[in-house]
Amino acid sequence: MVCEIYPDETSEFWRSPGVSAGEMKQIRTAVYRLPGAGFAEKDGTFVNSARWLQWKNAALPPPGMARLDQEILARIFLKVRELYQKEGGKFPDAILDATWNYTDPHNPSLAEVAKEINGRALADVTDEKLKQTILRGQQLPGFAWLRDDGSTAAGNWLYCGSWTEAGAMMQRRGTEDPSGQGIYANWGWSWPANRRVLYNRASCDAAGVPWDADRKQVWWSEAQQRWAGVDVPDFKADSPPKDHMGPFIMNGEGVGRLFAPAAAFADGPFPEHYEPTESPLVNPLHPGQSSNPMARRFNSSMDKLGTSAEGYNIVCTTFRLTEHYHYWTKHNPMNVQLAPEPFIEIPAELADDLGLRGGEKIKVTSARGEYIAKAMVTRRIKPMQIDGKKTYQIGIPIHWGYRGIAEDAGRTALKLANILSPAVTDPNAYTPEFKGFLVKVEKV
Amino acid sequence: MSAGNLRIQAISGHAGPVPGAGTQRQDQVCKLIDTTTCIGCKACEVACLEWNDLPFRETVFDNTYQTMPETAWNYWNLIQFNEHTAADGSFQWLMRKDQCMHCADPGCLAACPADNAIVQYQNGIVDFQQDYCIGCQYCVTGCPFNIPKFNSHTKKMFKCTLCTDRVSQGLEPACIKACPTGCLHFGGKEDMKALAEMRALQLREHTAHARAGVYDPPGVGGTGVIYVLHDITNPEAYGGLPVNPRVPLSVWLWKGPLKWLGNIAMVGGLIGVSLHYLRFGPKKVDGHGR
Repeated sequence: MVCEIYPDETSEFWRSPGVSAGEMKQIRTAVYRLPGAGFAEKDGTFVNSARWLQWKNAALPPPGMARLDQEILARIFLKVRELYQKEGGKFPDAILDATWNYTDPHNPSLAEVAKEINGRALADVTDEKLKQTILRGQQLPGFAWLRDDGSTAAGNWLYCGSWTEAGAMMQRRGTEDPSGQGIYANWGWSWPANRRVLYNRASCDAAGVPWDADRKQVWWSEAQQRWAGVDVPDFKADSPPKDHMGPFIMNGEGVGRLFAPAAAFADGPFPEHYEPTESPLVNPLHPGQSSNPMARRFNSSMDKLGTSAEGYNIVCTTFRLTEHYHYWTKHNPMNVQLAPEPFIEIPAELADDLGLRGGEKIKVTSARGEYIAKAMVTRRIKPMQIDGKKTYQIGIPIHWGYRGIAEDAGRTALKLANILSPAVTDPNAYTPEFKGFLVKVEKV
Repeated sequence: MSAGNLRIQAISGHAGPVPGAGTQRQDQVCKLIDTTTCIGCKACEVACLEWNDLPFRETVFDNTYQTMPETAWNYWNLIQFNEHTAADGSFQWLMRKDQCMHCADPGCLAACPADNAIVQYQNGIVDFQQDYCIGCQYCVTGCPFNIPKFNSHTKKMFKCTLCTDRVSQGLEPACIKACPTGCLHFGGKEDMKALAEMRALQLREHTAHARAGVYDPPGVGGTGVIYVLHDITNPEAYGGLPVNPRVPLSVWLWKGPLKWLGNIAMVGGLIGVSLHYLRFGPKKVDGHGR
């Protein structure tokens, strides 16, 4: 079951090239595609990698039968609950007793959901030290107020403080920056606790005095016996410098690490250079172990690896374009006219070797499959000199498949670039090794 | 900016003075394009299409990231992509946003014979008025930047309007709003010129671009769209940006000396005919003639 705004390769796998009508009948997977809404048709937040929650408004309503995600989810949930009420079940409590206090239960507003995620007091909650009480039903001002006795409820402690009794912090648009340091404390809201720079205690010396007198972020205030600053201090606010609590509060040692503790990473405590599993050269640092022995591999027929000796001696990388967004904008005419068809970037020198001109079709083959598209001959990719050998690199943008404007018009070879790349992943983050692998190239 | 910025300064093919000319001095508007921070994402191209309600145009892959070879009657904003190898062997991938330059001395307007088809507002924007366009395409001859484009179906000329509708309401042009890197700026001509010169100086002093400079060609009286270029001595590397653009000599001759010569010849002819009539009287047709 998928919720999408366009047909996509995942939900239309059964239409992939090479699947015959007879084979389609053998597929016993039912696919439901629910008509979701696009990003501009929804309100809610964009959360960026600086941890800012920034509210946005819907630009226009979803077209036709399309529905907001929350409406689709709510209608399914209410229907399931109805079934539990009628028919019962093994453990109905989680469904029947779930809080669902939205103004429109069939289409909860995201503002209500955001307030719910922030959390509120289910009973009066008192902080003895601060001599403050949050009354039952009030929004919680920060995660320090969360209790484990059932007197508070929150969707995510990190977001606690984003929508308080003072209002929607995530909807703020304050552009003032009195310190001139780019803090912008009143623009949206940054998790956790509206803290803009993590570990900002490290901007001070051991005595709590900023290293740079011209750019003070936080400092120890002797008068207040607390940490103060232009940003929210990322530290135990009343821990004086003489107690030597380390600035890296999420590390047990309280300080930065030169190496990772045992078992933190699958492939050892120190950084190490490995060649990709498919590489035109043997790792000169340790030829006996050229690539990462801990990399995760799969063992299907699609997971073969190729070698230079077998003729796979051109390095291939996959990439994305500014003109397209993954496998989505190939359905949007505005994006399609900017970059209308799949292509393969190849160095001018390699094109000369192949007797090839730009715009002519080439076939790229790896141990796992092939890809066909027009060549973009360029001087931007230069041949590399590796260990005295001239080595070519080519690049393939990933944005095409077998559904889309160009695909449906018959202007592509209906191939996916990631058929070529190996499903080998980093052992810690599981990032796939799609940026460097080996191929052969020939004129079609 | 206000609606007042759309006071007209010059009119094509118009006899006599421009109504209301010289009543009030207007600030010149200007678009600054810093080619050194453009990433060629083409967001400006889409913003231009969306804002001006221009239709989808089918394109084909042509061994380049450039959307199409040149701007079109319904595609006014185009990033020109050029791979450039300098004499010293160094390589650059140059991207330049191509659109109407809104010249202070617009060749299109000078060449246009249709009264009111091309106007120049007092804020510097040069705008085509399709209602008055006669489709003669003389503006193409007058433009040193290859900008006016003909719609063969409607027989009218089109080009970038610098979003007069937005600018007159105090908004920046759509392309400026869409730019994600901030390589596009919009404001008064003097402010933009100062910003551009500052950026060029920064490039000369702190980067390897020792010949960085500002493109604001005097041959057309300066432009309402100015560029910061990595190398001001070689604008042609950016997809045919002319070194010293001018209104073509033919247009200048035709609209200048030749026009006056023609007027003199016409008036002279009339005077000659009148004198001939006064001196010799009407031509008497011989009654016996065939």
